[in-house]
Amino acid sequence: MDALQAVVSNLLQVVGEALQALLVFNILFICMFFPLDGSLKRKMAILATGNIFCLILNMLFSMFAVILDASMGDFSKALFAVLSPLFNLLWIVSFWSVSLTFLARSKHGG
Amino acid sequence: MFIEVLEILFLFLTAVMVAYLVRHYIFTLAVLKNSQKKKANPSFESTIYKPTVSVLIPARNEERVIGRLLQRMTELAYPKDRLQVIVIDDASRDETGKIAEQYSKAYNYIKVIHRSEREGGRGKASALNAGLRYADGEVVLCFDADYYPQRDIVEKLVKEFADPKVGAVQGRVVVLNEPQNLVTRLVSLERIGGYRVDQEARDKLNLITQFGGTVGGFRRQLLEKLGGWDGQMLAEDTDLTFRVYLAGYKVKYVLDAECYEEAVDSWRAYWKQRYRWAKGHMQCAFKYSLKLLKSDKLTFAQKIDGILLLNVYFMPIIVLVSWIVGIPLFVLKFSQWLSPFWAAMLISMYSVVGNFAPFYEVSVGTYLDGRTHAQWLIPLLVFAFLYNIPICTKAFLDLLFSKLTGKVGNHWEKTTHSGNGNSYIIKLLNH
Repeated sequence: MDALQAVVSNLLQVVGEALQALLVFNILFICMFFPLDGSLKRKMAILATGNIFCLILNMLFSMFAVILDASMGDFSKALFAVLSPLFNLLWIVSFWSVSLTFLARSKHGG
Repeated sequence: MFIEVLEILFLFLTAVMVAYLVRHYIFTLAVLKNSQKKKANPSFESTIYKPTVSVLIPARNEERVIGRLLQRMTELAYPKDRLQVIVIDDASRDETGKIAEQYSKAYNYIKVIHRSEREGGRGKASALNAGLRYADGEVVLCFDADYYPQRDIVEKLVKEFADPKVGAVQGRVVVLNEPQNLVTRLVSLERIGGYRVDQEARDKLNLITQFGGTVGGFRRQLLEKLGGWDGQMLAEDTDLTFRVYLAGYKVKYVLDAECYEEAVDSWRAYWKQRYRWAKGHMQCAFKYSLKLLKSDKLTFAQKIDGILLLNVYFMPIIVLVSWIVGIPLFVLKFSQWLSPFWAAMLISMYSVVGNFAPFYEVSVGTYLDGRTHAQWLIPLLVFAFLYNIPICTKAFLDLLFSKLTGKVGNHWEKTTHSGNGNSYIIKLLNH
């Protein structure tokens, strides 16, 4: 029973952190990406792709953190709290940059 | 008690990060909005305004590039009877002086000042002041020796002086040797963010537009009244910018006045250049922060922007300190009034949203420039930013040390120019 509770708790933690990242990603993208000139269909497709990316990457990262937490305790929590936003920054910047390439191409007829 | 002190520090650092975050986003959105508006026609007065102009070109061991710039000076569209070009050969040990003399003999509006070993080598500011003594134009423009301007750049810059409130102008710097290697490509991206978005936004929002030391200039009378360039300051351009604003004038940014520069092409050269900029900026921050706040010549928004601009090179240090403070806080456990949840939210705010802001600025700059491939390298700017952390930290520590010991030690740590940009000029002319 305790083991089951631990699994559920960890799963909720993983999903919660992924949802947090999703929120940040969507706010950034909707505020920054949509005002730019370009095809609306392309923007929606890119946003949808980004959401899937965000969910998968963050769930993977959070699962890794849960495993680390089991062996390293509080220090891993601190490390994760600092590294997780950096990880999100890296992939969001990368995704944003690639998205802008596709949008710029659509603007210039590519 | 220790935890509470750490928490207060943590909150303060986060507040500073949020201030820069908001600034970046406001700038980017302002430029985006402005790009959608139709461009206003220049006023009649500005189009006919053609003052006499003195161009100062400080040069120390620039034999690989000086000829290229002087040749360009002869190709400028500005009336030559209203133009004076002054090359300050600052105790060069190569052929810089000889090359400049050849042009001086062929063209009567080009003059060369040779400084001896005893006089020269004291920094760019000293060289420029030496040249200023011989300048007789109403407007004084400056170009670094490795730059390559548009043919009509002088007209584009000087027409802004038709407005009596304009004390100085600044044009746009574009990297000439962008395709050379990864360093030049990343520097080019930084330039796009800085000039296409940052400077443009500050100009449009009537904030503090910066004179960048080259591709720009001043009213000669104002420059002389302000005492010319300060040789004690490493960032003499930033220093002059704030003196212009504190004197009640403004710096006008001219986006379409483009000049090409040969960017640094190695990480070592990048370090040296950014170290000089960081240390110089920090010097100015200590000198002008309080003066800015007390000035009655600036608006509230200009004061805030001025403070943020002056302290921008402290940002990488602030990021480092916040990481250092954040980790022990999570390990030691927070006090009652700051829960781990809110701490995590704060870290998330500045690490993701906050640090995303400068990348957003750069990426919108490339977008507005119509670039379709340059964006692929933007993620690598994260590593360039991380590289700036030790650069700025060292600059700060060295500055503190010099203040404590009283040793100033400013000398011309100039960037060495390889002349690799020359091959790109041919491509540029054929484009």
